[in-house]
Amino acid sequence: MIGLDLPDEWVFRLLIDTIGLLIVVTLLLAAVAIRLRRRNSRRAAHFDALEAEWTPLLGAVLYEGADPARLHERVSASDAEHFMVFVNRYAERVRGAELQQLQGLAAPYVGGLVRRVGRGSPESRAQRVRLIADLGMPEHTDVVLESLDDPSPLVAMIAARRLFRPGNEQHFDAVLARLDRFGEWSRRFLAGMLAAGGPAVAPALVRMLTDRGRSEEDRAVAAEALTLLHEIDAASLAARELETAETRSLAVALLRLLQAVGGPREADAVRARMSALDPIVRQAAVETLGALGDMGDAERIVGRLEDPSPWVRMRAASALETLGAREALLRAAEGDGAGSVAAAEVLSA
Amino acid sequence: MTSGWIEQLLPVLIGFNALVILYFLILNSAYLLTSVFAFRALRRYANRLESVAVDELLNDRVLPPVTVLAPAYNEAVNCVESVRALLGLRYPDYEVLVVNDGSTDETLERLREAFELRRVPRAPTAELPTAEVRGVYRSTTHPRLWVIDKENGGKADALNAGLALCRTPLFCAIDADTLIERDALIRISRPFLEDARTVAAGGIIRIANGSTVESGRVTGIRLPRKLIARFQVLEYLRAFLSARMGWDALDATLVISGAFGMFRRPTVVDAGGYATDTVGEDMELVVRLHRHCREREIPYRIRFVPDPVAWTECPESLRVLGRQRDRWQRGLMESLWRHRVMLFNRRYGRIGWLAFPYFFLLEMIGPVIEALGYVAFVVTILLGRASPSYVVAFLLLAVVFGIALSIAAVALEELSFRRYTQGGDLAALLGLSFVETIGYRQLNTWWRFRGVISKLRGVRSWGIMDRQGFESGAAASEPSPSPTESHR
Repeated sequence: MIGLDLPDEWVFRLLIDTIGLLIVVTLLLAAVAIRLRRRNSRRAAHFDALEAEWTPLLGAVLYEGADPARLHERVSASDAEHFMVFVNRYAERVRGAELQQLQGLAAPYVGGLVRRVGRGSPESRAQRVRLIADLGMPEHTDVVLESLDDPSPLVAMIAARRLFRPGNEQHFDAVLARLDRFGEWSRRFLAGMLAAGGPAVAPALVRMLTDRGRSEEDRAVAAEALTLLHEIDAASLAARELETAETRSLAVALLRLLQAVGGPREADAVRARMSALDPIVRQAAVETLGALGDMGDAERIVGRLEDPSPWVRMRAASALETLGAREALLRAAEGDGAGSVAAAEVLSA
Repeated sequence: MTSGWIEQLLPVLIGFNALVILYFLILNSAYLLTSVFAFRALRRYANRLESVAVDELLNDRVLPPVTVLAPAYNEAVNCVESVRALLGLRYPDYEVLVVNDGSTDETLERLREAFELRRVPRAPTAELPTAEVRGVYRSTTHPRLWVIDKENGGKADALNAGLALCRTPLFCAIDADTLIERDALIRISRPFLEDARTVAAGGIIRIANGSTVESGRVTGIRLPRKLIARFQVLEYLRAFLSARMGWDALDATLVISGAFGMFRRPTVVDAGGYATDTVGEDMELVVRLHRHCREREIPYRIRFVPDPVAWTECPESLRVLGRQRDRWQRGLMESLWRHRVMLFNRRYGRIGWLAFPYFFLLEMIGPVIEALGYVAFVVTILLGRASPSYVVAFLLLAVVFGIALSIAAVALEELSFRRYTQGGDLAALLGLSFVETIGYRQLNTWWRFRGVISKLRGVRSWGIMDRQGFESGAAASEPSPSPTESHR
């Protein structure tokens, strides 16, 4: 061998076998690549052809009152799931009667999806839940609700996103009760999902915000969702909750909520946070006070132009602009204090 | 006399040959394993993409604000088109911060004219030491565009200058000559939405040579015409779809390309920003983020996502490619050596026990073992101590292993994204897999070996990078040469 004293015959045999195995693997992989290319090209061509056939028929059903059976005749059992995906592309863009029409078109195929909803990978299950939720009828809602308890957080999230839509008010609590399942998702993402429920979700969110039995993280999500909804009625509650909020996430979310919907009556709760030790809370407080406070707060905010945190200085300059305290800003910009650049920037905008 | 010397040398030679064989087996097994992990991960990822569509994320107002940081050095030829492309990205809330790193050409003037820049004050949000910032400009026609003009300090320094003025929770670092696809920002921000612990995510880099570029967008995707660029297409497929996807499946991503990566700004600032004393600032940052988060017990994730695409122009001459690989090797060595405390250290979990040892022992020291292995191999043959049948068998094994790994990468591309859809592309890629192992791989080893030597000699330059410029739709057949010097 290559200078190594190993039992030659045995090692050589092993080498040759390995090479042989690798050649087989290589050929197999090449065959897989070619097969994948062929299969994907064939599938793409097949689906293109199907959609070219379905599209005018769909138009005829939707806009010319053609018999849906004409379209259904063109959907084989093996293409049923793809037909659902095809219909769903239109369903995502419409509401009301048009959506109902599309749901009616998909109805004969939903049952098949329901039977397979628990099978396959989490991603396949999530896709089926999405289609059932988008195209299914009210009687299929139970399937989506059950998916909230799917072992995969992805499937549960897809179900939750579908349930949290206007018109599904009766299911909001079921989702909110399982919010801890989505602990890994970003707060912004969760808040966006909850806000997608529309104004009808506000009472449930307010209950969640004030429920001390819940984690401050969950309550912060509720506050962010209420901010997205611009829920004016939540202002006084937010001010009250701010007094006792312990974590940064809840305090900042409440301050942002107050900035969006609060008024002078809530300003005292904000002023109390102006000297918070956490600079992130401080900057949110400064910004919010700029929105809710009065000229009497200008001096307090001017002090924050010299804050050790550049973020607080920046927010202080913006807050002064919001308050209309341009004189103070001009003085700060002309000086050589830490906040001079921030003040100059605001003035130049 | 001579034979005595040879007898003394032989045990060393034999031992080294054994080491080379062991290295070869471990390295290729690691490649094979990551390919297997990547296979499963890619399949799942493609399905996952269908369950939460990009448009849903756009509609639900959930995407966090992002700053795109684009350091530019002597980019006068392409900067206006590149910035236009950046301003046309599909993302609801983002700023573009171009950092002119002391260009000696007309980069700033071109930008000033094209976007009607006005000098404005902008307060920094972090204190990161950088070369002097001469001025900050904002476009009056595109309010989301800012240009920072500063003294030359290198790419990392330029990124730090941008980072110090960045105001969004996430920032995306790109190369000024990188073309990112229109919805790439949405796609790369997904890991940050789906897991709040995510502090960094890297996208895939693809090679634009040969493809048609119109208004800063890659439109007609084709394989490059030159063989050397085609080899790099294959290399990038292996590096991203097999290796990085596989490492991501193991939750042990140690590299995010400097050409396209998204980061959580506060975490990067807390970790100290980009290191300016290395030519591998992209890898160094990711290794440091691992270390920073582990040492402070901050829950975190660093991800690779295969669908956000950034297109780059690869070198088409051996000379330039050699310099690039030399630099990459030095960057890798600097990053790993600086953080060598992580090696086999249980404090760093699977990074310390899996990814770091792999990169340290196989990628960092590998080129030395491999290059010297070739020499030892030849010497052993010349000394008549190698059985010809073994020599042939080992060479064959090496070649077949290399081919198998390349074809696996091509299969992964077919399984997932299928960007090269032209009739002959698949055949060409499969054919390249057979050719690449002989010659190109050895050249690569030589360049990386040279990188090791350069590093040991204390070389710190980036080297000159001649670029041809992207082929535009109008002038696809005749690219205009635009030699530029990379940072430092």
